[in-house]
Amino acid sequence: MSADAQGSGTEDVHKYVPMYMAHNAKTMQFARAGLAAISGSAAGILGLKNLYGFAFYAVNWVLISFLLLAIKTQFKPHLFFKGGAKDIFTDGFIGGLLSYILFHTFLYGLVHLYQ
Amino acid sequence: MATLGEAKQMILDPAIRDWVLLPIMVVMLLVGVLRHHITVLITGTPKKPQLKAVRESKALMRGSQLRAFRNAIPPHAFASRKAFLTEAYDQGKYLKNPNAPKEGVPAPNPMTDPDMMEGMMEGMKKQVTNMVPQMLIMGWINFFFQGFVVIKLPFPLTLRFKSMLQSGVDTRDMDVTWVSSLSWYFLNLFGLSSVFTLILGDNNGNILYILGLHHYNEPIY
Repeated sequence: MSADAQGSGTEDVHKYVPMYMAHNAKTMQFARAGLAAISGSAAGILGLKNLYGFAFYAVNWVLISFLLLAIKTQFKPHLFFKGGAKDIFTDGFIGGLLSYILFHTFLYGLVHLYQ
Repeated sequence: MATLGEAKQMILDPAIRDWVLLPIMVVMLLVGVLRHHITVLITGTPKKPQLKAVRESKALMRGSQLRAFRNAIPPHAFASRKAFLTEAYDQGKYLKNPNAPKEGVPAPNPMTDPDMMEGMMEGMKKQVTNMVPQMLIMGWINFFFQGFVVIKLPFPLTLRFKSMLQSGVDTRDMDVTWVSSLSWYFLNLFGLSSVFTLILGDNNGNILYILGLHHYNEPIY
């Protein structure tokens, strides 16, 4: 199955049930949302500045992507996402970054800016 | 180029935090939750599709599924299915209205088709519930908090971002990383999506939903 699913083209559409795909995407989105909020807050409280903040996000992103890959999909991403591992590592990166920036800024401001 | 050094440090009054920074965030959160519930309320139950229309689309889907799984069934089974479906399609057995003339008829005007109108109205309703609260909040911030500097970004930016981050504050020499109240609103608008995902579930967090743009890039299965 996983080997078949890698093929491209419109006919593959029938191999995935839209309802389940939507559920998978939602589960992943939920994990991502948690990551953005929590890691952003952590970075803000730690007082990370400049590029360290973004590096922290990148590290966390890779970490949680790997955890999703290992635990949620048991290293068989093609059973869960049309794009396979690529989907897990790229989907929602920018949206998560926006949330991360908000929480980073917010907590940084509360902890380190206002006295 | 000045760095984020202590020399340029401004001290913000804690009252600004209590009366501007936090209220904007809390109000935006609550409005987001309210918007979600209003959307749920005014979205009627989806209209039941006509039986014939369902039959037509299912027949088409059956054909494409047969094509997709052609390798999964024996050749003779495939051949007989193919023959059956081809004949049915040729005769128009599953068409919604088989008596309609075959070609040369222009597509019906969507404005006159009641089904289409209904769908458009649904979309409009959602768009309005999405846009109106955002404009109200923007007006509220502009009216009460214009010109407040509320927070500082923890990373440096180029001068190009000055107009974006300090809208409403006209100072030439202030560091780019200081954020005005209106820009804090925009940060919230784009950043709170993950919070909405966490507390409301579904696709509410999607910024496209908040802006009412989600119709434009729905995946087609």
